[in-house]
Amino acid sequence: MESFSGLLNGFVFLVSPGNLIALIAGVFLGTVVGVLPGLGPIGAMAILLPVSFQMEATAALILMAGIFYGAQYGGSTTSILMNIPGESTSVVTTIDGYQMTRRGRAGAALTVSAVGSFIAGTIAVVLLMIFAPLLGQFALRFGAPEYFALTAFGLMVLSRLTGGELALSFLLVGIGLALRTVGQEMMYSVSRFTFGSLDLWHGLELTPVVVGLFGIAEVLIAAEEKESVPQISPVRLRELLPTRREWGRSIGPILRGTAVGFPFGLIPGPAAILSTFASYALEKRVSKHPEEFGKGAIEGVAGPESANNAAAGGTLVPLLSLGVPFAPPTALLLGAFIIHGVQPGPLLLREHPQVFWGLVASMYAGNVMLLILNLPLVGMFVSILRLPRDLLLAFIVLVSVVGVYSVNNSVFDLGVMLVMSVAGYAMRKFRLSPATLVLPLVIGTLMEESLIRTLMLARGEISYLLTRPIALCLLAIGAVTLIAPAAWRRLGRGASKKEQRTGR
Amino acid sequence: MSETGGSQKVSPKARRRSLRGRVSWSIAVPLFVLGLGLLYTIGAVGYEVGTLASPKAGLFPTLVGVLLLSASGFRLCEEIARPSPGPEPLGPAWWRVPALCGAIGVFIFLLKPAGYLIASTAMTVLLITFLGRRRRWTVVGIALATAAVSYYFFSLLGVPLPSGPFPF
Repeated sequence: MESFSGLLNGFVFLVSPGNLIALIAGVFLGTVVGVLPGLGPIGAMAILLPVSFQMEATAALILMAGIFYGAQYGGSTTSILMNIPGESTSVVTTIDGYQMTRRGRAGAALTVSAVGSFIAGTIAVVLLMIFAPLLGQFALRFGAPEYFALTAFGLMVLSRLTGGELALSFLLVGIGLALRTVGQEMMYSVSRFTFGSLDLWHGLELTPVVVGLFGIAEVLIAAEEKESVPQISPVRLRELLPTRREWGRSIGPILRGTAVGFPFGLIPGPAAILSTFASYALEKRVSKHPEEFGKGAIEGVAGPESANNAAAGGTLVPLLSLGVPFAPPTALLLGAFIIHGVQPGPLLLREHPQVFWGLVASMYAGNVMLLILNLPLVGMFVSILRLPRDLLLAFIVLVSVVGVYSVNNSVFDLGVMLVMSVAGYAMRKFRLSPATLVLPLVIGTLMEESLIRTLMLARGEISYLLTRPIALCLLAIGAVTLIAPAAWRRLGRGASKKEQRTGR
Repeated sequence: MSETGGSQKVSPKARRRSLRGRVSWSIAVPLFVLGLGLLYTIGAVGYEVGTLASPKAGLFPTLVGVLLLSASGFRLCEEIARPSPGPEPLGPAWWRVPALCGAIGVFIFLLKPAGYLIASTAMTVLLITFLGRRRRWTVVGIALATAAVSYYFFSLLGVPLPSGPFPF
């Protein structure tokens, strides 16, 4: 009942010109950056973060969140029509989505994708509304040991889930944490690794790092490829309606995709991407026609597209209830919260109910708007890809540099952005995930402060952590995530050797 | 493609050269981070570390330094034992990467002394010239218009941009 009245208040709060404009702008921009391969929601949010300074807190957060979940909708359009994933979360959709286009069913694929995204996005907001306050209540029991364990758990799971070698992931986590230690330390006011520079004394700002790693680095990657004119399949309005059989085959995957996607959102790392792969594998396994997968099975579009939207909603739960972002887009949302003097976490609902409920209400309204925007205007969004690439990339760079400069009016930040752009480019060339570097940078301060407080509380006894049930659980799950795959491989190898021996 | 024809033979010399390239890349990166980690750890220990019961500002960086050293050391051993594939090949227009970085560098260099209008015009001219094939005066026109419109737009949003020699 309390949730219902809170949501009603949220809608009342949402119906103000500023908030509505922010919502429309957010979901529209989100769809545009979702359509554009290369520029993702992280880059767009990072670019607009400084611009949001001038806005009222809730409107700024509505804008940022709109870009985040709007991009999940837009990403599927180019995957289906052109075999080019607009977003990393839509890579899986290319497999069957593009095959449907080749068979003349592009309209049906686009509609099922948009409706699936709408259903999953709406269910995810309901789940967010239920779980975020519950987890927030639970998190009131958290002290320094629990927060330390939570951040350590986050980094351990991140190291395992971002793919690649474990030592390499730890290396990136270490670099991220090392970058966080630059600047004045808060507990003892000691300047570390500043080399006498006043700019470094403030530490590294998140915005130049993220714009460099995700925004400009993508521009550099796009620039080194030769320009090609995209072949776009035209879609007429009357072709958008799926057949009754196609609807029937989509309902199950949409619901299963939602069920798979939301819990993935609660896990640190590239949750939305992983959820699409998990959903696709699940659909292929439960399908009565597994042979159709890869040849234009509508389940291969409905499941993953629902999963990535549900995961996007799920990633907001740890941010809003614990104040800890587990994915780069939510790290930027955290930045937007902090800039406006709002601290997300267990006390958010008590101290800033209008922000929480305004955001939740905007997500309901935003999902409806996205459904309306994405179907009739699909042709318009796709035509963005026909814009001259040189002008588009130059525009992205210009907005990025102004955005970064305006955070602190600092040329030094622009220098940091440039260095991070080169680092981001190199990381992509070495197939490394920039997210593994950004998350430690975001949660490093919380990790250090909670570690120091825990050690002081425990008078130096590290075993004190093991006497706290929540902390123990989190550390144990983190450790199992790290060790389990290697142990599983070893067990499998042992079993196959045994089989070979007995076979002989 | 047909030109490979399945009968493409790589000479032992070329194979050795490619392996040497991969080995040098895969070892150079962790070795570089190992060196950085060593410098970082030395710097971290220089701050007061304290004890576990009474930790000081140097404790956390020291732990991070240990993480960096052990991860890069482990990675180095892995690479020596089993070299991983080298970086992805550069794109056909790879020269645009340093060129674009240079254009951004020009903006950074000019922003404070010359102001936003001149800095952004210069950067946009360079970016469009490097990225496409347009007539010189078209490029200058686009850059000037973009600079003026964006200056006005960002001023409306309250973003204070350096005006340089201009009185507005």
